[in-house]
Parts: sequence; C-alpha cells; structure tokens
Amino acid sequence: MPSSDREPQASLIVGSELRELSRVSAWVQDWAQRQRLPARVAQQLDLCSTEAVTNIMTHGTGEEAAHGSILLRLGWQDGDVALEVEDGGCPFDPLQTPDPVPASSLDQAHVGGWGIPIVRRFSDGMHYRREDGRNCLTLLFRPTAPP
Amino acid sequence: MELRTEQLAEGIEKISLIGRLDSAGTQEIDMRFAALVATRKLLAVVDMSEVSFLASIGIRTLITNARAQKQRGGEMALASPQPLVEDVLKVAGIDTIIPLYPDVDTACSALKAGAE
Repeated sequence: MPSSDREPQASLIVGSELRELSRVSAWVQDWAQRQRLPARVAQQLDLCSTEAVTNIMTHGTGEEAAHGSILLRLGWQDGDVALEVEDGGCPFDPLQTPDPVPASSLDQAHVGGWGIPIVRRFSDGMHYRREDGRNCLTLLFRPTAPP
Repeated sequence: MELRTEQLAEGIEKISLIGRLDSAGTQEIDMRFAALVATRKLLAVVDMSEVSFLASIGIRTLITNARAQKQRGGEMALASPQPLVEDVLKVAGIDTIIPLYPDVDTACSALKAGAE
C-alpha cells in the first residue's frame, strides 16, 4: 500500500472491565480495514490486542476493574503495524512470563494462561517498557510476513 | 455467539458454535454448553466451521467441556476449524488432548469407531 494511504496514529481509551473488549475489537477491525491490511494480519492484530488487553483486565491487579483505563495506539513503525497497549497496573512484563507446559492429557491441561503464548505466536515482535509508573507493551505485525 | 444442536443419525450429538468465541461469546454459550455435555454421556462433535475468532478464554470453555464429558464416560471432538482458529488451538496444544478432525463426517466415523 502506498505510504500516503497510511493515516497518523489512532488511539482508544477503554475501561478495565471485560465488556470493553468488544470496543477494542471493533476499533482494531475498523482501523485494519481502513489501512487495507491483509485479512490474516487483521485477524492476528484482532487476536493479539484482545489477549493483551484481557491480560491487563484480568491479571493487572488480580481482579477486574481495579486500575482505571487502558490506552491503545495503532500506527505504522518502519513498515510494521505497531500496537501499543498502556496501563497503570502493577509492573508486569509479559515477555518474562514462561509459557504454560503443553498438556500431556485432558485431565492435566491448563485451562488458562494461553493469552501470552498466543500473542507471542501471532505477533512479529514484542517490546515492553515501564515508564512513569505505567506498563507499555508494543506489538509489531509485518503485513508482508508469510502466513 | 450462537449454539445449535443436532442429533445425528449415528447417535452423535452435533454442537455447532457460530460467531466469536471471545469473552462476550463464551458468556453467551457457557451455561448451555455445560448443560449439554456435563449432564449425560455423549458422543459429541463440536462443529467449529462458523467460529470466526477463538481467544484464550474460548480455549478454557473447550477444555472444561471436553473434560466434563470425559468424566461422564463419553467423548467430545472438534471438527473443521478455520485456519487461524486451528492455529490458536495448536498454540495451546489442544489438538493433542481433544480429538480434532478436518470435518464433521470424519469426526463422526472416528467417534463411532472409538465407542465400539
């Protein structure tokens, strides 16, 4: 896509209740459509933003709706789609979280903990920084990357 | 999110999930899904072909219900996921703990063979 079609950064602020996830998804899908992202990349962006935000909502403080708003930004960074997710919860670096051990049987399977492994698998880059008492997670998506 | 059931001729219950299996979607179907698979022994195939989105919260629903059905002595299989949904299932290793088939017919044959 010609770079002239690329709009400046878009942003969205949502509360930290799970019901806000539908707003996040609608916003991401709308942006992806305006930027004419390939369908697969748009789906990966939708999935990873859902997981990153869900993680903040449910793990940021151990309980839902306890630490105010979450700020999301979408834009372009050196040809990649960059999604930034910022929250004021306890310091939490998802890059340092080990993946759950894959289950060997249905009885032993972990029902949760798959959000970060999903983000790891479906984004093309992850960066975390703690700044001014806030968690800032950046996820990158390469529109030209093969599926 | 919608959940539809159909009794297939071979004594198999087909459970079709339609929509986004995300936080809102799982809330919409969780009670009905659990009521279906946790209360009696079944051979159940979950038709995933119309699930357009699977988040980690939906993985929880699938594992919980497959486990509940196993405890009843039956089996729950998954069939025909869309490509990205299948990739999400594989990240969590679901394909190794819940039988996953490319289509409903294959799932039915395998469930029947396993029950004999």
